Amino acid sequence: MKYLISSFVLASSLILPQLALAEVEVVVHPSNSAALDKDAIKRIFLGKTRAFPGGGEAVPIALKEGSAENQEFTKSVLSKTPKQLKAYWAKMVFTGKGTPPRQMDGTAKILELIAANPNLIGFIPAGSASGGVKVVGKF
Amino acid sequence: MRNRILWALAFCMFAAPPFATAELQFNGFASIVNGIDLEDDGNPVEGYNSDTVNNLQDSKVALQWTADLDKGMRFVGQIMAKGSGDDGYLLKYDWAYFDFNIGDSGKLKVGKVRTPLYKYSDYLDVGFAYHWITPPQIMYSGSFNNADGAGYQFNFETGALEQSVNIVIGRYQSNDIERVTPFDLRNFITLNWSATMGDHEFNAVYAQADVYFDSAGVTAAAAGAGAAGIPAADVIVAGDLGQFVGMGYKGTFGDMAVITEYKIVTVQDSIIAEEETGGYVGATYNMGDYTYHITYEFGSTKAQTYSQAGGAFQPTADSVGGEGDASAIIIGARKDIGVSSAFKAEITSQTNDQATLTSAGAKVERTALILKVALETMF
Repeated sequence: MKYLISSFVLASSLILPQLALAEVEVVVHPSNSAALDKDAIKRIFLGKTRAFPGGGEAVPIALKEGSAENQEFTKSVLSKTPKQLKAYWAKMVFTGKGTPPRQMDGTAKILELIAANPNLIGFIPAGSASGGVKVVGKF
Repeated sequence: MRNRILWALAFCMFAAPPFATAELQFNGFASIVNGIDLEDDGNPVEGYNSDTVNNLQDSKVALQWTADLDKGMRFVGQIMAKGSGDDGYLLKYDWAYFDFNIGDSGKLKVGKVRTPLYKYSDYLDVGFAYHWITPPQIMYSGSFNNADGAGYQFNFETGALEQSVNIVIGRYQSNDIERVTPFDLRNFITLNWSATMGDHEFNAVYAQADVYFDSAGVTAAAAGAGAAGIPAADVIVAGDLGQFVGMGYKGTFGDMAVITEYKIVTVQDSIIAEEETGGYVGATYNMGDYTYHITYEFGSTKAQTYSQAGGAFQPTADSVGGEGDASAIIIGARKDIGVSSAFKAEITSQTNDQATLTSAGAKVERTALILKVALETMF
């Protein structure tokens, strides 16, 4: 029993921080006052609209495919599995209806780009936002 | 010499900025398919017989490039090599168009664009995006998927209903690769509506065109009709109104999904079938990396009939396709490999009594049991 509890504590200490790390925050330029709920974010990241609610061009950018944050965002916000998302973009790309968000190498690049461009919207690991961006949702 | 240098400089000044600013993106997909007709009776069905070596007609490799130009404008080109039993792979431009963003969700395309007649028309060649190796062939029998013209597509929301309207206006002309006889659809208009509400997807299509089709069979039938006192105009296919109505539904219920589509095609005042109908009902079941599926499809063609005071004239069925029914059952499985490749296997049992006559004019029922395997990817 003692071993069982120890194993559980050890497993929890290894797994839980990773789960917490996978949480994502959606960020925009501080001047962006659009009302962005989960549905609006989903529509922008699936290429169904090119504008923020209320107006203004919306250009989504993403963390690299395969990253824990990308997987969490795909699951929690887009309500898709990575395979479903791949098939979705296959349809969109090869019908000329849209292209997937450009993927960035890391959080720093996303923060830098969004701080400099009011049209951009992206997601980053929770808690890593800088003063140059505004957090509009945590998932 | 000096003039040449000046011209070269002038060319560079004007030509270089667009090249420098246009951002190119490449995507592609490939399907390697092979199959065999296990009930080969000497008449290939869907192009398959008992010889597996030449059965490459469902294989394809495509490369698409997108050049992002300024002001919401792009150029999209797709070149595809399709397998051909006799000639290996044949290369052709599948589409090539400019598109322009209009408003928040509208897109105008000008050039060679896809005609959205069926639910899967838009990405018919991208096998990776659906569960079959090829969509049901009785339903998807039309050989024309593109038109030279313009298309406008826009999305909008009505409550929980996400809707999309796609209008394509243009002309389709067959080429030697697709058909040996000229097939021409002029004033070709397609109006496609699709909607999604949660896990339910709906689509409806109306299309029409002035149809032109010329072949030795049609000419012979027109001559026969003339001798029987029937106006040649009622037989030949020259500017006759062709109409297409289609509809479909897909519902996802957890790991299961049901899919159905139905179509009606007519071409007035011509030897082409008075009415052609087709459809399918299918289901899929996901289990991890595996998707299992079953589809029942059916089709029926009602031949044009001609009657007159002195008797009846019936054109021969092999001139342009005759009356009859067809049905098929498709059972298959898909195994996803990673997130961008899949292996598929499926078996199709088909029965078809259309357009096959004995020398005495009696109908022959043609059957086939086609086993296909495919490896598909996109990048």
